[in-house]
Amino acid sequence: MKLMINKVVQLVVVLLLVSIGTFALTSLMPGDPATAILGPDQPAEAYIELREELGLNDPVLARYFGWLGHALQGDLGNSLVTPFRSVNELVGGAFPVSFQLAAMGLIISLAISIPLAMVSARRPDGAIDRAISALTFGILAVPSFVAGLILIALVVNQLNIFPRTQWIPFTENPLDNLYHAALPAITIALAEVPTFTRVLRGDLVSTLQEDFILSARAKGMPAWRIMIFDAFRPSSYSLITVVGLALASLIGSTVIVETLFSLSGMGSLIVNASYVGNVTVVQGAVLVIAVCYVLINAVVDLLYAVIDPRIRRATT
Amino acid sequence: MPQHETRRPLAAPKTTPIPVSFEKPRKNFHVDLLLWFCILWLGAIVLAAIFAPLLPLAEAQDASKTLMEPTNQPPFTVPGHPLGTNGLGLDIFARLIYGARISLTVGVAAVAIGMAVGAMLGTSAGYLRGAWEAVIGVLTNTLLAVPALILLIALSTVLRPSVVSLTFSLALVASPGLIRLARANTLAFTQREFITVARALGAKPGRVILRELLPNVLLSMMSLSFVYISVLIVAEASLGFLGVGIRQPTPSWGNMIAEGLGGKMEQYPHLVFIPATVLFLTVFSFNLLGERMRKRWDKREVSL
Amino acid sequence: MIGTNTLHAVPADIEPSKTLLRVRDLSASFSTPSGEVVSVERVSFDLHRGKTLGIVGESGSGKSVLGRTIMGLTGLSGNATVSGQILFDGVDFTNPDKKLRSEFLGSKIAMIFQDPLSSLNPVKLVGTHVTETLRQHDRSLSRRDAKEQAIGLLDKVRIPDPQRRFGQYPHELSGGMRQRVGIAIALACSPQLLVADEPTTALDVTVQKHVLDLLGAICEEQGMAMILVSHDLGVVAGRSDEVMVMYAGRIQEKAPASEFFVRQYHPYAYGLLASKPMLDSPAHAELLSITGRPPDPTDRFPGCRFAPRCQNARAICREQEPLLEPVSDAAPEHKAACFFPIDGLAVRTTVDNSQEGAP
Repeated sequence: MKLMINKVVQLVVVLLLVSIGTFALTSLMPGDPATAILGPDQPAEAYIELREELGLNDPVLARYFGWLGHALQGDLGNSLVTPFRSVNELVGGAFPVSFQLAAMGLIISLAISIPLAMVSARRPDGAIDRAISALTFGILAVPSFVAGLILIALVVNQLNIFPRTQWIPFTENPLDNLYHAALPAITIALAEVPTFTRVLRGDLVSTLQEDFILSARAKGMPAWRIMIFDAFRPSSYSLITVVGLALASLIGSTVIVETLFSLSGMGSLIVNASYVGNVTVVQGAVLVIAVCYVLINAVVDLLYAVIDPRIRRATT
Repeated sequence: MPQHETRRPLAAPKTTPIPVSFEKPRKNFHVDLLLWFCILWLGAIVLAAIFAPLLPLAEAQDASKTLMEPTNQPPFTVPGHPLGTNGLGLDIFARLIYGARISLTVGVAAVAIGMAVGAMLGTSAGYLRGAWEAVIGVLTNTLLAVPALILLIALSTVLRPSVVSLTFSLALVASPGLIRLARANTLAFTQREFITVARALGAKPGRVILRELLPNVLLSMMSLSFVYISVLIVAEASLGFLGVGIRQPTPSWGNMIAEGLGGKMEQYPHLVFIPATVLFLTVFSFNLLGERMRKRWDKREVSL
Repeated sequence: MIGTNTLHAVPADIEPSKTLLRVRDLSASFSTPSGEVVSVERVSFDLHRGKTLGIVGESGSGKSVLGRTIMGLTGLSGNATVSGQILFDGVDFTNPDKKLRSEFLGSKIAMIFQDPLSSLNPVKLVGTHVTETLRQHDRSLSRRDAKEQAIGLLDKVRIPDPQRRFGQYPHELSGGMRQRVGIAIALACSPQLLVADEPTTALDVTVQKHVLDLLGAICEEQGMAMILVSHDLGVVAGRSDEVMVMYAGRIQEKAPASEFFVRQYHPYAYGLLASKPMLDSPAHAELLSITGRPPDPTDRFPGCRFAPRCQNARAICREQEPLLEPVSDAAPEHKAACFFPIDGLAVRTTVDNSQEGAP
């Protein structure tokens, strides 16, 4: 219990520091937000008026707490650049796209890695294992924007299987939505496959040396059953850790894929805002991503307990 | 006492020899070839990057000088442009080499800075413990709370992308992992005899950290440096690709690949695939070297 | 009591063929980075239905590998080679294929492992371990019936409160209870042969006896044959019909238990017995220890494997390999692989230097 409280306190402190960091972006920004909003050719009074309106003349602390207070109430401010929509609206539109892409990417990468790792672990250092290990080592060196471009060149342009750009909201037509999201999601997934496969393979190989695997064999259990029902679950701790860590790179790949496939998610939102110096949008989007990321990692911590009954009994 | 003085010895022991298979040397041979290829590749890239201004290269940056040059030429078609030209008639080979300068400088410098800072903070946190460790812990957790690429993009919003600012940003992104690593190593080293000896001789914490711990911690972090360099090169290229890294007309591998976007790749695939291949080979080489180093290092750790 | 040995009653309804397991020239070797390791070398023996064979040896003597090889489990690791022949109930079980293995293992041949904690899957309920075995070999068995049978089995191995234990995880049980679960799993399908690999080594001394007694009682009750592998002669004594001593992969001595505990011919077997305090040995009897260490398993030197440590070794011992043969015509079943067999009984009496001999 004490451990839990400790964790929650740490979580809050980290989130506060993240908010300070994102807020500091405004102060670090070269130039004047008022100029960024109005453009360079306005009368001097307009800038002064706008600065007053934006609260830029208040002390930094007051501005921070004002911003944080609004953010806590769910108001992330307004975009500095036309069409001046609220950041909430922009993030709200973009978030589902990115979330779906990242989730699909994660699922697809697990769906590829788990069978690969199992096939590899059956005969460590065998021909199949070495081939898979070489393949994953190669994929490791392919940045996701290169992987995406290769997929576009092969699958879209040559084979014409998947559409290239377009996003159909899930609520509009679920099947069409999945069809259009498939290629970007595969691109995201590919980047994680090497790590997942290698980590799980390593754990499976050592689990398969355990006595309880031998005893399962001595019971006459078929090999595939042992692999799935006896070896997999005890082997998945490191995989879960790595999945938790991989969320960061998963989000990174999502940003790249959105640009590549012209999808309007969080990534392209941040990139476009960053390109024109639209700080409030960058701020809001980064804060939302950081909060999600930290919370998901906290959930991953809890997952260990679900998998291992020994931990479960100890904590509850 | 022997019961019988001798027993009937066997005329010829019926030994069924058990099939023995010896297979060892074959495997290593292939692997070494690959390693040498990677070393050669990296060597060539590094040399080309260092001596780029001295090489007889065609124009890489200034489009006003290439108005007369053919544009979008595929490789091996135009004399003087071995890997072809881009949409502005700039020489792709030259741009690759100048791109390498940026990628390598940024990657290596950021890892060096990250290692130095990470080792200092991690070692002192691991040795001094207490409040300092807690502060460092919260700071690393905070940096890790924002996904690396997002942090880099956010930083590029306020810092004009340049070699210096990119190096700083990448070092910042790499440091939390390195701090954690250094701290973990320090905790392990602190258990060893030589630290106890140094303490018993009355060495002050500063001296223990600088003279005893830091060299050891840095040495054990070295095995990861190549892997980190490859990760940061990819990160830099990603920023370039997204348009928030090094900006045109200065070439970087990432922004060169981005030149093929918007339908140009279909017409002129070489715009994308040449820099992509160079990027792949470089990252692959760093990864392979890193893995070999780590394996060798692990073996040494075991034998110690 | 050393040498006392009750023959287990054989139920009348089993088939006439007495031999359940016939092993001939069985060898198992592993190719490792440091060279070829021959763990089991040309082992032959017969095991009759309902009988217990005790296999004794130091760690590394190949006794556990022998047990696993008989189970057909050795070939599963890619670097192992198994040669020779194993006939189980008339069926060739040498290097069994997938189908044969999953048909026989668990149902006709079962195994108990040394460490009950590591041989139970930490993330599976105790009950699941038993029911999955039952259902694996009887597909028509419903979940509910399987559970009922499993609780019955837990009860049979004298686990108190089997209903509750069924729903617990292995780490929540004591060592002795875990091993009882191991036995319950092994018994699930009433196998004809039970391979018990150091079944009590990981247990407390007080628990050891309970578990061994339980095993003996169950074997007797079900007419089940057992191979009892142990490094401890005390475990084997009084619980087996025949004893086999292994050293460096070879059988050095093989005899009916009643014979073996009276008289040992092989210096190693003698040393093994003499190094162990026996309840009925004289109060100040000197305990012998065998000097030296077992040979490097990758070192395939010629001759007797024990020669480097043997005080009686002569030139021939280092040149030729002794065969496992009867030593005296009076006891044709008592075999030893030694050119210069000793008489364990006679020597021991001299060493003890006392008026009471061994029993």
